[in-house]
This record gives sequence, C-alpha cells and structure tokens, in this order.
Amino acid sequence: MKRVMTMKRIHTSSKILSALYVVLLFTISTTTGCSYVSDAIEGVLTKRAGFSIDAYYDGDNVIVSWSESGSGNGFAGYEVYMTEEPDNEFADYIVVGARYGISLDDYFNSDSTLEYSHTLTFEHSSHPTTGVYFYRVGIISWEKIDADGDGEKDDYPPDEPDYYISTTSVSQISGSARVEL
Amino acid sequence: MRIHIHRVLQLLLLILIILTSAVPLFPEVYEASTLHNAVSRSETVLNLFYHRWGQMESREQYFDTYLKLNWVKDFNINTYNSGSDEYEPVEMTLVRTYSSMTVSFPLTGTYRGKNSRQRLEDGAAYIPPKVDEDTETRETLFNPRNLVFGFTATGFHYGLTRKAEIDRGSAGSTTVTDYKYTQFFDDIFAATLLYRPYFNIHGGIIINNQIEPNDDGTMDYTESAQMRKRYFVASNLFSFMDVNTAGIGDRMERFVFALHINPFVSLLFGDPGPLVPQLTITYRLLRLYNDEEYDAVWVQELPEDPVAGKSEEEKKEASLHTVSFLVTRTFAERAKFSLFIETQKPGKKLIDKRTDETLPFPVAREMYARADLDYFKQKDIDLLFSLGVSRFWDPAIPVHRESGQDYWIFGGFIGMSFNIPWCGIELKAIKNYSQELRKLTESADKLAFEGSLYIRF
Repeated sequence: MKRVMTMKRIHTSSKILSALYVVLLFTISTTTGCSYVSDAIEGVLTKRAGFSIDAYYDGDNVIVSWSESGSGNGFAGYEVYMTEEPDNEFADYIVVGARYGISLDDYFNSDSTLEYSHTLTFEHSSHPTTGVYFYRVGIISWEKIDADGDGEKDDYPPDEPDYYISTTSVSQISGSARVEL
Repeated sequence: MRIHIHRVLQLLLLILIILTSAVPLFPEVYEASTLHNAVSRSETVLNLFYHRWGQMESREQYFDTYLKLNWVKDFNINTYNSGSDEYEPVEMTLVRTYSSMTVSFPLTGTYRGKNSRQRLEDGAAYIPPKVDEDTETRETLFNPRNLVFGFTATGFHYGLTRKAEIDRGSAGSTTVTDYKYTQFFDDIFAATLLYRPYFNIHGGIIINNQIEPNDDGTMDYTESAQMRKRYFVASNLFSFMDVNTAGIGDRMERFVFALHINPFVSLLFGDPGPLVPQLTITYRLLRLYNDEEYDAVWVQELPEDPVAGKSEEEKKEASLHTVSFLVTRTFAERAKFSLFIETQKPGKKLIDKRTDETLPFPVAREMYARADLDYFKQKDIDLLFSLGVSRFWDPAIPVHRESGQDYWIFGGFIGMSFNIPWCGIELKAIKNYSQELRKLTESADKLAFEGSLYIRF
C-alpha cells in the first residue's frame, strides 16, 4: 500500500512538473520568439539610442537634462555630447561634458558632478555662439579588470582619470535634442 | 587538409571582395515597396516559420530557438535635416532581425521505423512506455511520440537606422544608432498538432505592426501607428503534400499547394534510393498587387488622376500565380546541389507605374542554383560552405536597382555554417540573391551581411 501511495505521489508530482514545464516553455517562447526581442538584441549590439533628453538655451548656458539614471558599482558617470558642426542633424558628435578632463576641445566643460548617478542636469557654458546644435547624453560604465592578479577580470578599476580613460565604455546613450543658439 | 580549408577561405574572401567592390558609391534615393507590403512581409515570416518547423520535424526535436541579424547597407534616403531645414540624401542601414522559438510537447504514442513508409508498414504501432517498478524510472518527456503539440512564436523586424560617430576625447570613440522612418514588426503566434507520420497542422495569427519612431531617434514599442491581424492554416499530409493558406478577415491572400515527389513515390512504390534527385513542385497564389502607393504597378488600368493615384473605390487587386520546381541531389554524403525554377502568371493585366505601359510578364520569375559542401562529412558535425547564383524578375527591380532598367537581376551569395547537434551558427554575404530579393526588393544592388544563431534539442 505504501509503495502504491509513493508511486501515485511520483505520478502526481510528474504531472505538476509537466504542467509547469509547459507553462514555462510557453512563456519563454512568447517572450523571446518575437520581433521586439530580436530588435532589442540588435539595438544592444549597435548601441541604439535608448532614452530621451531635453535641452534648451537659457540665454547664457545650454541646459541638458535627462531622467534615465545610471546605477550600481559599474556606473562611472555621465558624458554629454554635441554635434561637431552647426546646422547639421546628421553630423558626428564630440564630448562637451565629463567628470574628468578627457578633451582639450574649446567647447569641453569638465564637471565633477557628472560622477554621481543622481545628477540629471548639465550646464554647458563653453558652447558655440550661433547655430543649431544637437546634444546627447551617455551613461558610462567601468569595464572590469584583473586588479588582484588572480587571473580573472572581476574587479572594478580605481576611480582615477587614467583608468576612466582606458577602462570605461558607453553603456547607454540617449536620443538627440535640438538646441538653437 | 589545412591547405584545403585555407584555399576555400581564400576563395570565399575573394568572392566577398568582388561583391563588396561592386557596391556603387552613390546609390539612388530609396523608395519603399515590399517593405510596406504586408502580404509580402507575411509571406516572409511564414516561410521562416515553415523552415524552422521543417528543421525540427526532420530531426525529431522538440525545442528550437533561432536568431538572425541582417544588415543591408547603402540605403541613401532623402531625409529632412532639422539643423539645416533642408532635405538631403542621408546614408542609412536597413536592419532586419528575425527570431523564432518553438517548443513542443510529446503527448502520447511511440513508433518504430526510420521513415514514413516503415512506420506505416509497422502501423505506427503503439509501444507501451516501459515502467521499471524496481527503480521507479519512466520514459523521459523527450522520448519520440506520435502525437505532438507545439507552440511557436516567430518575429521579424524591419527598419531603417542611421549611425553617428561619437568622439569621447582621450577616452576613445563609440557609435550610436537611431531609428529612422517607419519600423515594421511582424509576429506569428501559432499552435501545431503533429501526428507522425500521418499529418501535421499549424494554425495561428500573424500580427503586422508599424511603429513611427520619435524625432530624436528613440522609439516606444507600445505606440503602434497601425496594427493588422492575419490568420493562417498550414498542413502536411504523409510528408509529401503541403496545403497552406493565409488571409485577413474573409479575404484569402495566400494559397500554396506543394507536392514532395520522392516521399510520394516512396510511399507507393518504396524508397527510390539516394541516387534519385529530390523533386518538389509547388503552386503558389499571392494577392500581391493591390493598387497601393508602394506597389510598382497599377492593376488593369491607370488612375483617373495620375498624381493623386487611385481612390479607394478605384483600387483593384491582382494575384500572382506561380509554379516552381526544386531539384536537390546529394553526392557522396557531403555535397548537395539545388536547382530552382519558378514560373509566373499574373491574374490581371498590370501596368508599370514608371512607363504607364502594360508590363510584359515573362514566364520565368526566379532561377537559382546553389551548392553546399560539408567539410567534415560526419553525422553530428557540419562545417558547410555554401555558394549560390540566381536570376530574379520583379516589377519593382528597376525602381530599386542602382543602374539599368531591366526587370531581372543576377545575384549570388557566399556563406558558411557550423552545426553541432545542439546549436549552430551561420554567416553570409549576399548581393541580389533571389531568395533575399523575394523578401525585400529594396535590397537590389545592395550588399547584405547576415549572422544567424540557433539552439535546438
């Protein structure tokens, strides 16, 4: 009798597991087999603009603001970019704001507050005087290194300018915001 | 052997360089046609669905997930520049991403035999699952069974993107891509009932969704500009006959009837053996021409107002009827050759929008020949080198090609794939290959790169 009960329990457990298996696979298939997931994967590979920002000229500075914030130990700061030539939406971008002095360009402003994840505004004072320009914001991440010499790249580097230059990358980047100066 | 691989790779590289060098420096400004044609796009997503199910079914597997990323370069689009307040040609990339996942659940019954004929001779006899009461072990869920229920989600995304370079000063550089113009998302959600070896039947819904990206290059998946639902049913009988249909509401847009001659002959007279080429004959009806703005042709007559086009009342639709023949033959278990010829006939007179003259439809629509060579010649591991050449005819070809006015275009592809039982990868370089032009005529005279990855068991 005890053996029969054990077998029944096994069969009942097996049925429950089977049902869970079906539900799990159904859920996986509906979420991962759709066009939006493959587009999201391609978007990660090609660094698709992922969030919107605002930018305006207040008569003195260009004020760039955003609501997407970085987080975690890997967060290294924000960077702000501007089109390298006036009146061209499709021009390439140059960095105009970062926590360390990573550029010698006349339009670059070093701003130490960009290291904090709660900073969501940047005031660009060294901007061009006339023309239409476009701004973007990048969320910067540390790349892991082998700091303790154990052969594994599982440590974040020291928070110093040289490491910022050599071991950071853009993890997320915003869409563009138009500013008329 | 290393020398041989080296030579093959050199040859592939040489062909790739020739293909790449043929890309023109100043391509024409892009106009959409098949990209906006939901009937054509539904055909593409359905073909992927059938292809993945065919792979699973032939290998008697129960799980398949597939991802393909395809980039077509050199789309030069006349685009509004909000910085200069002018329109100008801007180079963009057409991104096509495909993903698919199928899970199936073997319900009941087991069978014997290596093929349909053997199984039918054995009566697909039910063999009770073994239960060893001493060890309390049972057959696993993945033992082959006659009756299988499956669920598939397959999706395609098509859309243009633009890339910008970002100079981070001494920290290096990076790039960003923006969505541009309408983005198309086509998804299939389907259920399948398979009863080996007698039949399978698929039924499902195709959701064609269009999303307009924001001006800043971002996009919200939830903000649909237009969404249409289509339905499809597909079946296969005794592994030799396919009947597929798809439509919207009560309007049928697609009908396919295919006969796989070798399984049919095998069923009646026994296996003709591996020396006999595999032959498949397919009849296809597609309601492809609908007097829409994106069509390259008018149906039956010109519009009363050539500038405004046809009003909703004036619009007519025309079907394209095709009959195709696919012959494949494998040599020495490692070289497979395929030859495909498709004939065509439109249901009504069609008028070319560019010339306002009746379109002279030739009999041949598509021809291709491809060769696949398996380097390893092992059962469980494939290293395939593939090469194909083709000729394709379509009314939209002269709209999208970079030079010339012909409706037909020659093309080809080179590729390689590596497969082991659980997974595989594939890389391809394509230019004007007919199988790609069927999916997207806009890719005429443009080089495309493609990477695929799948996992299955």
